[in-house]
Amino acid sequence: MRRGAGGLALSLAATLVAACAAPRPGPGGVADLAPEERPADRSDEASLWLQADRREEQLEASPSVVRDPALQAYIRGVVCRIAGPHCPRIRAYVIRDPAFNASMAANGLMEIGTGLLLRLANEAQLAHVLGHEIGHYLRRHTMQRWEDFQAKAINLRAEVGSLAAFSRDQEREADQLGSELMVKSGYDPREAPRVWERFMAERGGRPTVASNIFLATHPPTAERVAALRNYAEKTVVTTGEPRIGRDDYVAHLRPARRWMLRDEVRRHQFASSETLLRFLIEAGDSLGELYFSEGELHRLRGALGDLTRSVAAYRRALEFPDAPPETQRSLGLVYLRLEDRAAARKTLARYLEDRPDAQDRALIENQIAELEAAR
Amino acid sequence: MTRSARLGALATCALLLGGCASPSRYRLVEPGARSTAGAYTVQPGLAWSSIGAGKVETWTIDGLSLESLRFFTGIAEGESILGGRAAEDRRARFSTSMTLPEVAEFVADSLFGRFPPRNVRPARFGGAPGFRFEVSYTTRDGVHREALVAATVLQKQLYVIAYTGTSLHHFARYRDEAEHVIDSVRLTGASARTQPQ
Repeated sequence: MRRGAGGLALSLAATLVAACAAPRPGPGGVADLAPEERPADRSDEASLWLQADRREEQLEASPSVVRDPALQAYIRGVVCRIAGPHCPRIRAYVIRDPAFNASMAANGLMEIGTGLLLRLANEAQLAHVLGHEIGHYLRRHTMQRWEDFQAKAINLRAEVGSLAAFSRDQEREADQLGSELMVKSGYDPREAPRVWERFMAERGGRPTVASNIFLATHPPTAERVAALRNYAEKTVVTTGEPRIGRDDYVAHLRPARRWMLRDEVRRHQFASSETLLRFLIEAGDSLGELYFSEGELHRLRGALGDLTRSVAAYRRALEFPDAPPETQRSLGLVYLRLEDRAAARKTLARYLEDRPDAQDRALIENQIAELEAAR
Repeated sequence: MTRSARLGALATCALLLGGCASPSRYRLVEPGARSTAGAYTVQPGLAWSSIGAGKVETWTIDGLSLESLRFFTGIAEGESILGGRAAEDRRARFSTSMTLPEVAEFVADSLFGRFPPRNVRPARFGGAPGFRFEVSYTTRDGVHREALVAATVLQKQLYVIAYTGTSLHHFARYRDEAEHVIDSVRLTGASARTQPQ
């Protein structure tokens, strides 16, 4: 879609209102889904919906679904703000998965990985990702992909998993629609390219892990970032100051942040975690937790120089009130490895003072007793 | 036996043993002394079915999906406990430079991921310094399970015994037997000679 800058927002909004009010043919010739529309009985599309319904039934019992009412309500609010009349059909599940991952099924089942949430800086960036996924749903991309496979006589049994991965054109289209939905909802579209720029910086040219459907077949490219940036530059948000929503986003994510960081460090993707932590530390929120996580990264990696770096990170963490009590535990164990027994004894004792309900109390007490005996 | 009865028996077997397409892969473990990887012996009080060998051997009585006793033996420097589906470069690896609380952390992370261990405590493993802990966890399909884990490091190699079972009934059913097996560990060979008794 190419448009001039003047009056873009109004015409864009009008187009989108129309898009949400009535089906319109997408570029592939398939009409967009209308609100409340369901596929015809016994159609291929109905079968795709049924498969997604089954997936949703599995999620109901899955321990991977994050069942935090406040976080769910927040995500739901942003989904509805973007999806408008389609809101009741989009069911967003937050999945405890430290990878940068999100998916949209044919029936409106959306899965958002916690690793993705950890990597977003504000609500506008969340709106872009949600809008991108909603774009796949509105444009019936799963159905189009199915029809492509049939037309090409591809072995469907072998390829059915690939339905979750959209084509390059579909990704472009979803990017575009995601940005349009952002603008319509009053978000700042300049945040959209930043999602992908930051992710590309984190990858640092390393290949994307093939198991990640969201990124594997169509990874973020400079071309996609340029298109999003170009769109943002040409777009004027007319509904007052464009919303970024950093404070709201950070406040809603904060209760989950500690375990999200723990999951991140334990992915053992240390290089990308290190870059991510650098970004988060620059943003400056929850520095005690972040420096603790940096210390954990070095302690778990244990390469040359890592233990010394972990000590520096833990000590920095302890300068902030939000450093978890486990900082003393980890620091004490690293002192032990570095054979600074006095510091180890003192720091481990401090951990037990700060964490009276520590689940490893008996083991740590045993460690302290051994240090005492060796004095 | 009719064909349908045989199919029924096979289906039951598959259900109980978690897909025993080849039942002969299982070996009977009689009550009495049994050597594990040449490092220690155990004395089960009940008859178990055993599958696997080498670095991971698994025992069960009623079926793997109901309860299992797993023996991870001789995990050396730079090795992971579970191969699993994680890419080669994404597995936590054992290091002999870990402190004992870090070894416990490594075992819990490797076997149970984000489900935290409870009551991590020092416990002798056949006379060697080691630890035990419990974990409650949920499988991908929503089944609640419990685990009891015992481990030690012998001659720079990690040894773990992990008993797991469904929270509903099976974990409790053989817990005493599992603890009996763990308590019966006796170090053998070089392992025994290097540990204070």
